[in-house]
Amino acid sequence: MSFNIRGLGGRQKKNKIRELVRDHKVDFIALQETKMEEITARLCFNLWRSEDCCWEFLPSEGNSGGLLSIWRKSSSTVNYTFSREGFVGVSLEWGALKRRCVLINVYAKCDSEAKRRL
Amino acid sequence: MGDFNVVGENGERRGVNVEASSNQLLDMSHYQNFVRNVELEDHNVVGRRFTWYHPNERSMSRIDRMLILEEWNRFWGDSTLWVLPRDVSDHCPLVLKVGGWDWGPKPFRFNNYWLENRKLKDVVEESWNVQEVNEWMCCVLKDKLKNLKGRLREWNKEEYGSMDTRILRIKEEIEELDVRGEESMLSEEEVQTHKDKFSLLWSLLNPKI
Repeated sequence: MSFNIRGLGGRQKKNKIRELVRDHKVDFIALQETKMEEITARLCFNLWRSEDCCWEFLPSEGNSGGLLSIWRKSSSTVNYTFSREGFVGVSLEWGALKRRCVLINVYAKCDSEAKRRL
Repeated sequence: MGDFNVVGENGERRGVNVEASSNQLLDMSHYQNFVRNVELEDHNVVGRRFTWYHPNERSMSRIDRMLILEEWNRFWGDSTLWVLPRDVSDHCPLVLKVGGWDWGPKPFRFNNYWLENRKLKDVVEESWNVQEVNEWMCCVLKDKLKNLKGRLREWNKEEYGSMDTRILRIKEEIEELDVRGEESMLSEEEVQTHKDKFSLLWSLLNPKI
């Protein structure tokens, strides 16, 4: 799942993510524009509705941007993660078959300069 | 996957300023080159055509997407990328469903808890018998189901006008307007209704917390 949430601060936003995770039995979620400089384990466990998750994030720059990817821990092994301005990537081995997949969470700013850099 | 903040072609945006600026055209061509260079494919979407809506409710675009490798389907089987209704963000969530065919939103919604309501039977019978039968049978059936759907919805509103169902209904109404707005330009009045529904939704969501 991928979703530009436009700020993860409010309760409604968190509840929305919790609903989506439950209703769609999400394995992996990529959130854009978290507008959060710090992501805590508590927040991730709350969004994921359990502690069976791993996450990787890119802090927001003040009130702008911010990325957060969360995925099911028990279904995956992490090979490596990578991130720069505008993206957070993870390489995973997924499921019993250990299929390798690379999932990149992307947020391009409106600004054309930044978009080109990305 | 994510918010690329750019459309892949002009048909992916709609709005008041239909003419793309030179900057937007440049962004678009940069994006197209990027997709070609990394050899990814843009996964087609179902559910709706656009993923982001301007607060004026008339400008909209498809800027959120998932790009996949060509061999994706070989490894993971058939997949469907759904654009879900929006509520707390001006972007829609995207969900990629893998394996098995997903038929999408049900055209006839039926809540199981209705079955526990004694009045249901009368409501259904009444709606079913009200129509005349002088068309092709299949059309009659279709019309009857359509009428019943509307009647059940009204009845649900009368019978279960509680907070949660109100919230659910407003979300559905926003969804209806969103979908209509994708097909044709909304009228001034509809744009206002749309805005009102959003502020109502927020006010209903707030006391819940």
